[in-house]
Amino acid sequence: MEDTAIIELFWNRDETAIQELSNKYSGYCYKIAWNLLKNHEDAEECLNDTWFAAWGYMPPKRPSVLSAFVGRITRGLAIDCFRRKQAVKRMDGHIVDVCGEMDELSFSYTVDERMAEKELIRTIESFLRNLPDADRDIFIRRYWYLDSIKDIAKRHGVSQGCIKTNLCRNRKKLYRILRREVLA
Amino acid sequence: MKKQFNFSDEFGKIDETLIAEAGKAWTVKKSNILKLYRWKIVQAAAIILIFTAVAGNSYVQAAVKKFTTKIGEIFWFSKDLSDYTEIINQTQTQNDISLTINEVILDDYSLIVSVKPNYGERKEAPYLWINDEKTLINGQRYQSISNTVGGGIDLEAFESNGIDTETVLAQEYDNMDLSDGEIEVHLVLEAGEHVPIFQKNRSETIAEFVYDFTISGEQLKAQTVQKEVNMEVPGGDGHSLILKELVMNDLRSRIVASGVTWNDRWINEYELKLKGQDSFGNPVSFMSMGFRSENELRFETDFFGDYDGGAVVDEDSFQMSVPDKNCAYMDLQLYQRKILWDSESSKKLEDEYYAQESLDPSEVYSEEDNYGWEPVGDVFRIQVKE
Repeated sequence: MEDTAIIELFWNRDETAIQELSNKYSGYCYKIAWNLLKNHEDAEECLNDTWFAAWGYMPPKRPSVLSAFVGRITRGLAIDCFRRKQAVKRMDGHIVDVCGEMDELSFSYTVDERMAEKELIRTIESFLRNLPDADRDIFIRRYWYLDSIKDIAKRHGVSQGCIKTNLCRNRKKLYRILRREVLA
Repeated sequence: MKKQFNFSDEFGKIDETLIAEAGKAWTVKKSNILKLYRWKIVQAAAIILIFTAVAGNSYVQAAVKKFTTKIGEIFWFSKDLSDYTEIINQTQTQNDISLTINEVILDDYSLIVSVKPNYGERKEAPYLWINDEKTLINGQRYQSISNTVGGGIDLEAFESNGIDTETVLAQEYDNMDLSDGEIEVHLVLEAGEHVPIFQKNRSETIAEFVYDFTISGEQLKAQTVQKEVNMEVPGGDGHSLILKELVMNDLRSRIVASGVTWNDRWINEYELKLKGQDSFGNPVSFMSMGFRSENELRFETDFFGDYDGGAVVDEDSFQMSVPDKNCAYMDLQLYQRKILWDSESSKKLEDEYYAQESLDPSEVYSEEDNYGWEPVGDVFRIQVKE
């Protein structure tokens, strides 16, 4: 079913909307949740929560890109689930790596330094749009889709070392930009 | 009040079009695989520039253009190289890796070899390169001035996409001045976990492959145009370049210039190119590629054409920016671009040396500002035929 038709079902409060959404995007969203959680039950729970969250958001929202819209919900739920569980269980190596990398880009700032949140997002988006196509794809696959280095290397047909170097360089670049923008 | 910027949360809010774009299947382009790396090796005050190109295969090239040689296909070289190419077909196996030497091109300035690898059960291909110290041409060792490194690819990805793993290794020399007739080549290839300058020690070399064969470089040599130029061109920082010599053939062309030395500040801070067109209207671009001697700067056409960051390769009208050797003249202009070094890339080498990579110009400069290139002086004409 077309995305616009699925969105219409949500707007008409037709409960088949959830089934249609699940039919079309469960594989896509499952991969996002699995990349972080590496646990079938947790990933399934995230998916169920995603469909019901979508029911809550639409209406009033009418997403322009439905895949990104539901993927974003799944990603947020998966991160929340991961945070709840990380204190009590041993983490998978991939998860430790990707979280560690994202932590490198997190920092504290005082309210005086604070940009409006929307401005920070614009800065990140501007950074992404100025990257070469391949670098942008690698960065988003790693930190939005939470893909493993191995999967990204396979996608781009290069060694894992190349991907690690590429990510490291662009993380440092983004960190410099964010710090400069926040402290400016 | 202290606040926490949490990247994982904030990154989740990026624009949906960016997310959707990365959600699509990715197509690897030639420009993503062929990449020229400019490194500087530093010890105390001395700076040595090193150029390394990592070559692989394109996902799209074979379907787009008809090539007469494997070397031409892999380098996307639009001129017909078949007259200059010799077929060797020798295979060596070491440490479960088999390398077959297929095509070889040799002239006074270049040794180019196409290599068909079989990596056995390996999932990731090691890097491949020609060992300068052990390779002999007519029994003599020559120090190359730039080299190409192959391999370093994910083999599963290549296999699943049906991509050929054959690669090309190219050494470039000052001027070997080869004798006429058959030339004996003792070729030594290395396979290693890292590109040569980052090999910490010999144990990181996985295998060494030795080939002996004879080849004639006469055809290419006979087709090479050599001409004295002796023309003065204004440069930057108070320098004048004296264009001394022009060498042209179907493979590559070179202009040697004097008037600067390897430790002049201008040369270390800027990369240079001579850009314009030949009398047939072909776009021409000679890049500064280091020094032939302490005070002789080399400008050369290169296998990768003249495109910045690989971003403007048009698959249907790929243009090498190599002049036609039969042209009557070339109209050229000197351009300079500030080299920006990536301090984050600094890597310690042996002894007191460390290496630093230049920033990718396409990330620093935009198309609107001509990728950072600015003209120095006016257009001038080099008369090739009187």
